[in-house]
Amino acid sequence: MKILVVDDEKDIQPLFQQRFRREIRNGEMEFVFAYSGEEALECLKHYLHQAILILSDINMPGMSGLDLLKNIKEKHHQPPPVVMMITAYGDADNYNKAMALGADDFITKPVDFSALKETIKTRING
Amino acid sequence: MKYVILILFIVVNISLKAQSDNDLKRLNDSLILKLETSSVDTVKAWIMLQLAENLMYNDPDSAIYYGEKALELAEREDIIQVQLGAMGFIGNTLMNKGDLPKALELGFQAIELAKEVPIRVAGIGPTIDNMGKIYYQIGNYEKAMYYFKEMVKMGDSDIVGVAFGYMNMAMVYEKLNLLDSAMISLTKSYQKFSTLNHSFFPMVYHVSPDWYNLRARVYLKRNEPELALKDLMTTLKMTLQNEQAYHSSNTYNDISSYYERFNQKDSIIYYAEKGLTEAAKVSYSRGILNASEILAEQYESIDAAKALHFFKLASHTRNEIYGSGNIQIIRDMIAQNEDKQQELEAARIENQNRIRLNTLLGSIFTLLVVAILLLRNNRIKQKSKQRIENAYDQLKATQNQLIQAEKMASLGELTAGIAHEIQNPLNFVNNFSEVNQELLEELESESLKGKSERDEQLMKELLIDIKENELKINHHGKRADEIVKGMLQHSRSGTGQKEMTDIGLLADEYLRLAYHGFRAKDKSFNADFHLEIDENLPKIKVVPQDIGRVLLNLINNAFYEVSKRSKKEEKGYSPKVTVFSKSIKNGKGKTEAIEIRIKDNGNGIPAGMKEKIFQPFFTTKPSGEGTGLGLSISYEIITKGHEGEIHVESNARSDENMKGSIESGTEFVIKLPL
Repeated sequence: MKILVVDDEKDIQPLFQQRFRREIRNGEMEFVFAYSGEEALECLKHYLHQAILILSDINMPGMSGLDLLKNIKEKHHQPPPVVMMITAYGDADNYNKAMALGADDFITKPVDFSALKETIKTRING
Repeated sequence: MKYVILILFIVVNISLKAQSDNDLKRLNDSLILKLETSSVDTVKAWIMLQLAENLMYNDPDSAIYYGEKALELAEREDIIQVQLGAMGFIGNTLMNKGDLPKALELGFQAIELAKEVPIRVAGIGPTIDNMGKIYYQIGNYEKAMYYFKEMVKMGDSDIVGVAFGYMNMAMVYEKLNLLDSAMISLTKSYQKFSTLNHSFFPMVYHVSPDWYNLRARVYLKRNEPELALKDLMTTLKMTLQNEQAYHSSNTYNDISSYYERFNQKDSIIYYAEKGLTEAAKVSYSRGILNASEILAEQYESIDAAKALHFFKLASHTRNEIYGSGNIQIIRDMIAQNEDKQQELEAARIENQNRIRLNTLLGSIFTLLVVAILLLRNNRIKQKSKQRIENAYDQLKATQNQLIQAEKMASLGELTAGIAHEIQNPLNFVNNFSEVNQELLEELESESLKGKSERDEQLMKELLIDIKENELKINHHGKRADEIVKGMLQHSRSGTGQKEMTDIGLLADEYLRLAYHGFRAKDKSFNADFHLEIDENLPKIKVVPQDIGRVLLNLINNAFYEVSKRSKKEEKGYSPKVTVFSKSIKNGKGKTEAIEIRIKDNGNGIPAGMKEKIFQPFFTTKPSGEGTGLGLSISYEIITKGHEGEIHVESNARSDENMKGSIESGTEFVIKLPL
């Protein structure tokens, strides 16, 4: 399963790579990283017709995570990608907006990685 | 295109009739009421002077009546400013009626009178204006320019005069086809008008209606007729509403000339006739002349009788203003006055020398007297000095407390933003250290294995990862540290040192802090915010925490404004705050300053409030929410601390020309020299 992580903080890459090193090592998960909404859309073009899970931050300069979500859900993609939003702002407004746009999950920072791992695994297997 | 313009005009015309609030009338009614209830002659003189000024363009007879009454009273009461002002307004009215010689005579008299006053007094402005305009009318642009520049030199003693001075300079430049210079002068004039709080400006007009006529003429010469028409419509709306027939006549005639470009005979005639009607209402001779000349020419090919009628009217009016007799009188008067001026100049120089000597002797004597007095009073003063010093110290302490309060208030606004900014690096610190723990455990279990079972490659990789993570922990820890330091710096009082600062970074930091601070206080708030910084923006020498405070104040205000507007839930409104920064180059292409703009699309600042916003304790926020010191401190920091400039540009939704538009907003502009 391919997982696209979108966040403007560059250190998110080594963090995910190490947090999920076992899953990566045994080929269960494959991570791809994008540092902005725009970059994520560009990246998605390469994975048309592939199952993909997207983990996206909301507050990013330029295209926000919500814009990205809207863009992905409105457009193309078979099978439709699973999109999970990650944000420091867990308020109702943000949550409702993300859900209205069709987000599959909503996670607040700081991220609980073991819980996230479980969620991803159920998504992959279910 | 032409039809569109015509239709547009009809729409404007209809909507004009629906407007009934006449600001000028309201102002004048209140003045008349004050006049009737006042029993103090000085006050009466000032009120009548004001009435004369206000009525010049819609009721010349009353203007002259009030002007003469004011003059009479002012002579009796010896208020020279009113005397001079009244002479100026009467002169202007006479000039518009076409009596140039009388206007000129009155002008010379006023200038003579002004010489009796040792310092430059504000009252002479209107007269200088008239003099320049008379010279302009008889084609002596050099002399006209001299007078208009004199107006500009009046500076703070007569800001209205400066605003008109620049506008008149633009008029000469336009005539001489120096269109760029005309535009520059117009801009300067506009800026001056917008600083006024003279009751006529901005209560009746935000800028003289002539300003738009003039810019329209420049646009026409620059071949931008659409812009010209738009300006003409603006000024027409302003003056019709206030029934200023003099101005409306000018504008109708200008619109008529506009259609001459397109050869639309119907429109040319239609507007020239309107121009004539308006001019006739106030016996405005130059307006009558312009309109009748256009009409004579237009009717020539259609209606000979009408053509003749207008031709006669034109030549009669021209003769009245510029007739051979008149011009001779004017020339004589000017020549006479110039001789007199030379004599006066010689006398003045001699007089000055005498005065200098006398002043010197006088000052020595005065000094002696003062010294003796000082000695005598020394003891008494010692006591009161102590009292004054105590009071001063107390004041100083209060001021410091207030400034500190303002700092703490803005710090409070910052805290939430800072908490959010620290959250990110702290998450990394926690995460990487947890990861390292796992990695260390793995390494440990690997090292406990027998030598043959060990995966040396894995162990090496683990070690590298641990080391890198350690660096990351350190990096993010320092990042959090920097943020806290920045916060402390913000609250620290005392003398900040100037250092080379990257304005782009500073703006970025405070924009994000302000946004997160706002979000933390009000979860439902959301706004679009952007930073647009010139590439190659040079670093400049400033006190970073001071400039940071200014940015924070302005950005906080911007977010406050857009959030206030977005709470009203208008359709189609999306709150937006943008910070721009660019370098400003001088003529040689060298950067001489940096400009920072903070722009929001909130409700805007009403015209009457613009001058007040930089005053201490002025706030529009509900009590308890604002100290009213943010902008005044910002102003101090920029102008005194950094020798820069700060001003505000704003379109308020409550302003008359903005009604019904959603395009409102405020933009603060800061200029910092290199």
